[in-house]
Amino acid sequence: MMCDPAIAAGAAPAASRQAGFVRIQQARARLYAGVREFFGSRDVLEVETPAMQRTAVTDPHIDSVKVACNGQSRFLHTSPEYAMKGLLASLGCDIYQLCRVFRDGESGRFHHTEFTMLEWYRLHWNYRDLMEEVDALVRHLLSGSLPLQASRYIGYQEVFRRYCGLDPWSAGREDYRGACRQAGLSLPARWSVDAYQALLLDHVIATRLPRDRLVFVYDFPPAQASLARINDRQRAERFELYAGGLELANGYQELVDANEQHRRFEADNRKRRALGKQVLEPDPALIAALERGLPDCAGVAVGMDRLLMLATGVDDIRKLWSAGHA
Amino acid sequence: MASYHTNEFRAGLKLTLDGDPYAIIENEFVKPGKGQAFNRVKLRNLKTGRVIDRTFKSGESVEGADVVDTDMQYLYNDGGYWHFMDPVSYEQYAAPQAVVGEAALWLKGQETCCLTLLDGDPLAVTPPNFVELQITETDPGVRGDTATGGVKPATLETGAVVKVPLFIEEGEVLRIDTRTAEYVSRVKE
Repeated sequence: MMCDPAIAAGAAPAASRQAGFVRIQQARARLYAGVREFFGSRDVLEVETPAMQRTAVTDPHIDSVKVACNGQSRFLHTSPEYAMKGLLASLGCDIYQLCRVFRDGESGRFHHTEFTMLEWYRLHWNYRDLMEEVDALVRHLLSGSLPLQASRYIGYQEVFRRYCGLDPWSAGREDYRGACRQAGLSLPARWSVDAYQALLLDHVIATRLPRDRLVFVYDFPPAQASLARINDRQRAERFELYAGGLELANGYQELVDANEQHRRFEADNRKRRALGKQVLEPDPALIAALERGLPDCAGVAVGMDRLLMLATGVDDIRKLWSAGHA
Repeated sequence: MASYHTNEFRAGLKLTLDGDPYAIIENEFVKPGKGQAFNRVKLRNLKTGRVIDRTFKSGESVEGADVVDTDMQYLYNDGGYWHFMDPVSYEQYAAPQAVVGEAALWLKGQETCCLTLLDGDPLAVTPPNFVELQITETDPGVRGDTATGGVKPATLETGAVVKVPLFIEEGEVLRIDTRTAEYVSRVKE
């Protein structure tokens, strides 16, 4: 009975909320079926990796949830990235995973402590080709629920020039501060260029991008390379997908150089120390995979809950998780 | 005064910014998948009532403001100050005109008001949501005219002027909503 939204629609608010929640669950199921159909037809293998890890991600801005299990402390994965790279090295084929990931302290209209991530890797692919595959997948998943114009691909430098009037390769802190002020963002302190860039991209540019299409932003500053390769032109080969004002996906030409990876881990830990956070040991599975030899590959993660928000028109991620959240 | 970490931010929390007390109205956590997280916060200045937006890096701390709301009884006005008493401790507080502000329009004595105290000093006075006051002056009532919805001004015993229906007479006691300064109903004596 409760599965039929038409019956519940005219009933009490609690019942209609329940019906809305049923519709969300149905849309979620369709989304996952669509993902499996897409990759099934492209010969990408679905895999699973453990959610409980011995080591936490070193990214200074991501906090892992700590759990106790069998008398030992473990961390819930914040992304299946390290484990999947380990698999990639041993399986030697394209892989994808749909899994629940956990990030401590992230909760808001567009953030949920636990959320579902779709992550996949393409061997011997270029990140630009992967962008086009992300484009095809998201269009496939949103077809029928959200009409989309032709997608746009814009360089990180161009996007700052066009939407903030500054060049991220030459601008100084005062330029960024001015751009924030101009966008109506009032800031209490002087920040690093990195922080201003993150704020402007996420809060100003993302909301000014066209909303009727997918927009890919690519080639980031080296300081924001994370796990992406940095090319000879000093561009981090990384991309993000924006739609409807939301960041939906983040992809890399994956770093496969073990020495460079060690340096990135050390840089992460220096930042962690500066932020007063715990210094963490690098993930041994990733180091082992890199030392064994990780093939050239491109990888990407898509936030399925935000995609579901776009597919259902829901404006608060918490409504996807509980019928009680009006 | 304790300081608050951004992950303790929630609606109602009182903070000190640039020396002024503020209350958080709305707190939104926002973060790129990779990179710095932020809290975009909407705050009300408790002195001026002005609403501002501020963006903090998540992880920053902000000094709290020692602001408490207490129910107190309004006693009298000595011409310069309005005097209130805490019904529990019997402690008395004097609030100047600037602090009492528009609440003065609705107070004649004995009402229970909400006093906002900053470091123990009155910062704002909120009158009860509803007060009952007598009309001291208004044009004569128009009998039978209860349906046309016409209104006229009426002066109340505190000096406040409100719009009332045409049938209301001088000397009547009215129930007033202080939040909207609107007439609600007549009060039968």
